[in-house]
Amino acid sequence: MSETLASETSAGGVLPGAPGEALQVEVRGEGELQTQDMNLNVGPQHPATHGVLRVVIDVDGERIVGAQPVVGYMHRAFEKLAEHRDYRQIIALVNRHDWLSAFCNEVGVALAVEQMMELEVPERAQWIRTMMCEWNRIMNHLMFVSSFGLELGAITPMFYAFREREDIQHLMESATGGRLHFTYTRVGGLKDDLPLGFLKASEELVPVVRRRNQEYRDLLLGNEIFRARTKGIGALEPEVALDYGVSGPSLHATGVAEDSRVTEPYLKYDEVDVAVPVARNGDSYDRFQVLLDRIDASCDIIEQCLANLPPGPISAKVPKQIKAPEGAIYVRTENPLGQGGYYLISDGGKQPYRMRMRTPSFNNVQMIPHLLQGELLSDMVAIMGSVYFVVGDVDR
Amino acid sequence: MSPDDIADLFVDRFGAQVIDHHDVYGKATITVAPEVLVDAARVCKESPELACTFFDFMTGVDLGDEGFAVLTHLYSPEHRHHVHLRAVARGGREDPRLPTLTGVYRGANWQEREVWDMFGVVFEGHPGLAPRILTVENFEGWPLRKDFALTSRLAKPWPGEPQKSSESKTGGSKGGDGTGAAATGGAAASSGAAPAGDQQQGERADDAQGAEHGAEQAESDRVARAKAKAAEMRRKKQAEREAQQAQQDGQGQQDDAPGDQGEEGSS
Amino acid sequence: MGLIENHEVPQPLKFVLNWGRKYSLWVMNFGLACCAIEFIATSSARHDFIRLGVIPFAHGPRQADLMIVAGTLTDKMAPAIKRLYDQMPEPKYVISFGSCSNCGGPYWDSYSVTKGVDQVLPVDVYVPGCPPRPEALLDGIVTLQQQIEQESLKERYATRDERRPIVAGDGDPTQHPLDDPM
Repeated sequence: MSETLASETSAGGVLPGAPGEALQVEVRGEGELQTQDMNLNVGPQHPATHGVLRVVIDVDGERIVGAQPVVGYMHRAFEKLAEHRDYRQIIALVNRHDWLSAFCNEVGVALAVEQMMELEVPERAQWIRTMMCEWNRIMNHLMFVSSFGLELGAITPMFYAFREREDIQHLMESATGGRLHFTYTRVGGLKDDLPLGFLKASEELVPVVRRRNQEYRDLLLGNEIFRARTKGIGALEPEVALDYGVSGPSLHATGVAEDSRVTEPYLKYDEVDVAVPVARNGDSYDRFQVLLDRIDASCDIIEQCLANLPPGPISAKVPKQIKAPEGAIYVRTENPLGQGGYYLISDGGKQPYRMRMRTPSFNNVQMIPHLLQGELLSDMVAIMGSVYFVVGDVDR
Repeated sequence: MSPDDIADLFVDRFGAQVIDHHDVYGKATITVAPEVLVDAARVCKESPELACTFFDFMTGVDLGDEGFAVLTHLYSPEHRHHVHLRAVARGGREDPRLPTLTGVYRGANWQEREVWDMFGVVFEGHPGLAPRILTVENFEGWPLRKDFALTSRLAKPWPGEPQKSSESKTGGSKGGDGTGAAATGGAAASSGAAPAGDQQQGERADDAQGAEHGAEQAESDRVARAKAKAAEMRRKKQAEREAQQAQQDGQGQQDDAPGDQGEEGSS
Repeated sequence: MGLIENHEVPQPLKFVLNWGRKYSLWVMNFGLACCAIEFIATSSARHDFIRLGVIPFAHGPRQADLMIVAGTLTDKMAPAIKRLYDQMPEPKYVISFGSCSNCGGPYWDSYSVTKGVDQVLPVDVYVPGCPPRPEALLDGIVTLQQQIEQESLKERYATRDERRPIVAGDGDPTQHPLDDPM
């Protein structure tokens, strides 16, 4: 659609060109000037993609008219390697595909193999696993609190969030021996019992995390700039989210409280109260708010685990060589970033015949073009930072 | 709905096109003919009693000679039940083809691209499978097929098990080991094996058994060695402990604790 | 210029020059995988590598002296890392952080992982671990600083070409397995 604009039109103000001469400009929509579409490559190494994700976007001026994420820069062939490893080695391997939720991943694999072998895992081990999952969840969310703040230009939350992360890492390291990749789970139980002083340290740390979480709330959610940059930006509809298989905080922010800790409880989640924070609008602000609320919810679960932790053994009797019986199983867990799952096909050997990893980030990133469509280029960071994903989890 | 009810619903709707169905750990697994795959997915999503609006994941499975199966997992947040929709691709190993589900679920787009990237299953009607989503663009081969060997592994065996490596390598070169496992895996994933394939499968099973026998032999050898070693260790430790005991008796009792610790550290 | 590149500078001047260089390493964070998280942990308050003069706020490769490759390098990513490395001005240093970038780590048998970043770039310091602890990175940085303290810039410039890694296909882009897809 094109029409002639005289230089004195209110829309254009004084346009360049000879005085009195009409200027040919294409106008579309509500009086917007058309510019040539530009193809812009963001990434693979770009701060806004936090990780090695590449997004090819078409921009019309400042507005994004098309976006296509290009993934695979972190493809490390986990599914192929799992076919060549035995189950203990797989536990070490799956720690690494979503490096921010290592413990939740290893629990998923252990649950799948245990269900196939019909192993009865001791109570104490299950409670400890539940508690560790929640500590891991808090660690994960703190990372995104820090990175989202950083991407929107607030550097302070990063230093604050890493302070708590270090505390929690220190705590988990005392039990597991790892700062990032714990490898604490074994098929049938755990590697070791908790060390002396762990429970006391946990009890002391929970209120600290809760108090500081309130600080982030004040610091970020209360911040005028933060609100302006996130409210109403990148709103996701619940139907679309389900259609793409989006899960975790991004799904909860749209108002769908689908959380396998509640709907299909595993470990000891049926014996504790699990709050699933939801929001209404599904925009960046809501997603971030849900993230912060989830930290509080995890604190509650940890306190319940500490109160209920029974004495007893921490590992079931397992054969020396772990072999899952023939068959197929799908186990899903609520990972910090959304629904994680392992579809395991065994031919009765010590290695799986096929292990499919259902990772939350893959589905979440696939949805990003839908959100970017029609948004401003400067909002891209606010959108991509709030659809929480880990690139290793996308590409596996 | 329980898995049985879901299966009944599909049988009612599609009759003989439902090739197989069963309950896998509380989740219904329905194998349908490729022709009705899209319709079946649409029923899953749109029928009010199923209402599987959550598209979870899609994956390929290598069935050996039979080709490839593609399994789609759907979930209903409303009714909290799962459906594994499974279809064996037409065209065997050479040219596996399936209709696309992108018209039903938007999430199928990337999942199908991934299955194509990993297994080479072509989805007819998909808006664009290329470029390869995860591997390098000029990558050759379909990495998750069982006949795709990891070259690093062939060049250098896993350092943890030097005895097994030679066996697995010969198995690989014979082509017996890999496909034999594939056939049993196919059975595990429950597909009616063709009668022609049965005999082959039997042969392979024998083959595999032979290999397993060898493996067992090696394992029992290793176990015996390990036991002998452990017994020796125990003897040594016992002797140590006795020596220490004698020492402590001479020294008195205040050195008790450090002595214990030292032993723990060394063991 | 050309003074430093072509002539050996006198010892006192060299000392001052190297002293200045070693305490102002602007780092280009090439965060790829898990190790990137430990890299951020090292830069934050508890471990704080800024006290060693490592400044993690380089705006891009053109402002950086040091590249820390933290994480798994895949064949798909390799051309990008090479390109960014080539954009960095001499003298430039590379720390390979973590087992994956040292040798492929747990993905030693993967079909898509480059077995070591030293197939693509020359590496000055290797930090082992999966992932290494922040203390290990601090140690790696101190090691690099000791190297910088000792080195002669003339020699470094002279050996610039020798330090280029040997890549498959002799660097011929038509044969190169890692040819640039961008």
